[in-house]
Amino acid sequence: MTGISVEVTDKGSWKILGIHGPINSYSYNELQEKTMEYIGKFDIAVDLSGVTSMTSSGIGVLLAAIEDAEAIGKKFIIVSPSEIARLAIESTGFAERFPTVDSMKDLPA
Amino acid sequence: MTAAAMSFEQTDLRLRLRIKLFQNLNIFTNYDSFINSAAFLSEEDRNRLLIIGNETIDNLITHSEIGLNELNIVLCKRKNEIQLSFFVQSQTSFRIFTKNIKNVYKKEIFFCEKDRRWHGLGLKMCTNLAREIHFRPGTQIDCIFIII
Repeated sequence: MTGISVEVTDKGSWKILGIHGPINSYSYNELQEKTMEYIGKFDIAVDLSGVTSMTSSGIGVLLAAIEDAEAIGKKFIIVSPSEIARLAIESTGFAERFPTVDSMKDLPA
Repeated sequence: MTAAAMSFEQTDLRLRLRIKLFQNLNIFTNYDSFINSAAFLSEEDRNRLLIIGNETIDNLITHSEIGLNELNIVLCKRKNEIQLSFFVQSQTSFRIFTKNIKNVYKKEIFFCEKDRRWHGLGLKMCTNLAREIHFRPGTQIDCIFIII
């Protein structure tokens, strides 16, 4: 797979973005466009369980989205990251900046 | 896989895999397949090498290091370490980057509003995942050696 697929669903006040595939400089634009489309309008949960690899391009999009959401009082949470997504986040040295839950049912109301 | 060649070599002391990649839409997929084909890697090492390698290729593409040339990668397992080596045709930009590497390491990562991109983040991720990273510019070939 050379690109990512982004599946969008609703759950209460949450907009859920399910990401599948590798996030790199060829594919991060799609993630960026989707997050920017919904930021400010919804609380956003990004399901990273289907992510097969992730470079700093993807991490950068998530970090910018988290900061944008926080600045306007919205929530942005990462859900059940794959092992490689989790390691990529940890490798930044500031994993605490990425609010993360293990599953959809752990999302705050 | 559109990569030109992949080879496997085993001696008593080490295991070695090679691949030749070209810049196209499949370059990341081909790299991932290369790493995933290395049966001697643990899950943890495999994930580290997938992140570090994708990040390195991402940067080589972003800074036009590969262009029309080939990118040769060697993965080698020794007793206590795994080395991932990248070989690409020499570019002035790589020499400039390596000359400033000490300053690059000192710099904090920062967000550029203009291109909405974090700078220095990829290098920080790689240095946190690797035991050692060496950049060697050459007259013909530039090399990056990563040890985990």
